Amino acid sequence: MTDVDHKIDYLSLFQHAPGLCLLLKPNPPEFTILDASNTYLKATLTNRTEIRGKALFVVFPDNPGDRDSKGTDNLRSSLARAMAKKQTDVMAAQKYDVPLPPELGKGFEEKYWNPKNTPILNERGEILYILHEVEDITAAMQLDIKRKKEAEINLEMLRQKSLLIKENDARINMILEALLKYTTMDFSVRLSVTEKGDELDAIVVGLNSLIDELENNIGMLKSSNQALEYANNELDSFSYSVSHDLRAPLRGINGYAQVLLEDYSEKLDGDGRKNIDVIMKNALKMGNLIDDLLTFSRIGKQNISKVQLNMESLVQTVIHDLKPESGPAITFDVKHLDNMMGDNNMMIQVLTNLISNAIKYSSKKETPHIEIGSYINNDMVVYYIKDNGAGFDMKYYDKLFGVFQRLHGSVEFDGTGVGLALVQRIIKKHRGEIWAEATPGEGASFFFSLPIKTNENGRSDT
Amino acid sequence: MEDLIHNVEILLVEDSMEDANLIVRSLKKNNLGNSLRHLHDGAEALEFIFATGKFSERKVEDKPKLILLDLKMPKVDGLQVLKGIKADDRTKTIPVVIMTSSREDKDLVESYKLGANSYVVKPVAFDNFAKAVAELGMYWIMVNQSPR
Repeated sequence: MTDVDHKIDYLSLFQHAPGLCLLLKPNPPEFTILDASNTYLKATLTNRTEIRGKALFVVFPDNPGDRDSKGTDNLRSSLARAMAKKQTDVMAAQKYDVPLPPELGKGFEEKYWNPKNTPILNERGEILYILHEVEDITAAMQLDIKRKKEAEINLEMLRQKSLLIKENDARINMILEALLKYTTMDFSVRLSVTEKGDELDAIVVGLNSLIDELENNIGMLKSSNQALEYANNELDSFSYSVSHDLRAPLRGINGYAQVLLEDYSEKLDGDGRKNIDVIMKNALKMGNLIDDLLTFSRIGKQNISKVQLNMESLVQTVIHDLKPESGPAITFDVKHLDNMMGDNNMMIQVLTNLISNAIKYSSKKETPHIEIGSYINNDMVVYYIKDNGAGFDMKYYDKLFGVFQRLHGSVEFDGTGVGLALVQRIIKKHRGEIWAEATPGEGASFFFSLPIKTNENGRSDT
Repeated sequence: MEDLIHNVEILLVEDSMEDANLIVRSLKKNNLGNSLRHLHDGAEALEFIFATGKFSERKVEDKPKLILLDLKMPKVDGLQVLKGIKADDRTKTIPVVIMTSSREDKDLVESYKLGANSYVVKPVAFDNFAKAVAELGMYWIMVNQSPR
């Protein structure tokens, strides 16, 4: 017996064939199932005994859960075409769900197939069977669908993100616009917080509370400014009253004391006349005090108008005006003086006060000597006025520039105690410094520094 | 002096009796106090100058040769009086000397703006002031020829 003669078991061959095959009877519309390959049974979750002899569409109906399913219609058409043309009809890849076997529950399992239907003909061209072959492409299709879905999800996420970016852009723009307004002290706009509660909202909340606080502070500042302005005005009218009303009675005292002296001099003895003299001198002193005090308070309010000042000629003018006609001859040693930018009247006041002090406190020396000079120190020009007069004890230095502070008794040296305070005020207004060095009995040196570079508008904000 | 109504040479407008007495004294010392009238406030001064109210028997044309005017006075202050005098063609040629304790620049500037002829600050030392007033009086009464 040769191999060819060996009886071939065609049934097993069909049932164990690797392809997924279903053999149908060409009896539309039933298309009775005759047999199927094991692979087909496995793929469709069926078993041979259950499906054999049953009508095709009874075993594989449409999935009622899938409204779009056209599996049965497509298959019916393809079978009809194959039978009519008596040749293989290849169907497009499609979805055709299979019912779940009862042990796996109710419903259908999603399935995708590449089916083709081939009529099997005999010698006479009569259709014996229809061979329904399929390729199970479910895994590939599901993967494809999954990828498409993922791609869609990604696209959607991207869309959402770009929306979010646009939205955040708009919010940031609003914040920037508000900030811009805030920089111009316009606080009319307040940003609103969204429901998101994100970082931008946190910024908005922070910003809002900051602006609230700022506005509150500005309000307080404004009201305290108003109070200050009011106080300033009060002070203005006060100093006006002082200048007018305090001097009037002093004039009365001085004037009538003078009348007394003139009209009743023969009725007064020497002591009487001396006492009247004291009254007059004190009235004058009080007048000077009021004048100094007024100058002092006026300087505080005055704006400085800076011009280029020729310090040498300024100093010479002041010395000329102050030089005493009597008393010991004073030697003035005026060194080279750097010029500076300053307020002409105020600087004359400074030089007058400092030089007259030098003259006053050195007047009791036999050879009074006053040296005036200047030097540059960093970006400041320093002027000094040095005398060999009474000096003072550095122990009391902190009282030197205070208003009404005096380091010498008025019997010893006359004065109101306002001069140096006034000088300091002027120098500070010029953004400079003033200081002094002294030894009792040997003399004092007063220094004041002024910035070489000054702001052009010449105004001071003090 | 209080009763002088006509032919007044010097009209002194000063609310302070003390100051007024001292001024009168120094004017008299210089023989300038004979035809002097002292008024105590600005309202009175305006009535006198414009011959109204209790001075209606006067004539505006009977002008004083000099007005010594204090700035700070009750009712009508010196600046208002000055304004009134200098705004009227009949009186604007009368020399007006402003006397005040105020050293405020704004008073000085305002006085000259309104047409004051001189401005004297009353110092505490009366000596100088008396001299200044006497000299001013002398100048305006004796020397200066104001248009009639």
